[in-house]
Amino acid sequence: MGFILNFFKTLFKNKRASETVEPSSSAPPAFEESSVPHQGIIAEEPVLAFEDGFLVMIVNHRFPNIPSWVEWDSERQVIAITQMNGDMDEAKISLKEEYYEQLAKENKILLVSNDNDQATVHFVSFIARR
Amino acid sequence: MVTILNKGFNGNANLVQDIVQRVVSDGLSSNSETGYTAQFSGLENSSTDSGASAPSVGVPRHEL
Repeated sequence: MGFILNFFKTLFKNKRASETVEPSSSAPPAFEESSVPHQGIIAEEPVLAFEDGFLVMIVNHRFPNIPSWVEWDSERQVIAITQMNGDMDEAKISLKEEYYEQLAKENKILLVSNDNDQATVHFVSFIARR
Repeated sequence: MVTILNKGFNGNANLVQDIVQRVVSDGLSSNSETGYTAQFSGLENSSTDSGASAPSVGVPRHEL
């Protein structure tokens, strides 16, 4: 009888111990940061130019992340720069209609922006939406 | 010859031309499929610049 009681005592003791196990310290921390991309506005209109077959955009803005692609919407007259973390900054831009066809054929753009006390150039994809 | 595409551009065309020509003369390949980054300085020394270290080209500001 004593053997059986000891068996059940041990069984319940082990069960209680397994229920109160602390989470492992090597477990990944809870994800606290928001995964919603940030959308910013660039107040100063960027300048677009063609030179020697290259499309170049100059924007007086410092991107916190690396620009990934540039998308121009002719209807909204907005140009958006999406960064590698998903953040997107938009600027109003008004371009001459005579260059719309040419812009639609472009798929790369040299993006000149600020980087502390220097300018930085990113050669990224360009999408024209009409 | 640099062609500015902005409608009614009345900013600093010389500065834009300077920046664009420097960037393009870096010898970038239009066939490159990968991103390319480069840094250059000296734009802040432009006599016609407003003094900002960035390529401030004097275009109008908009509210979206």
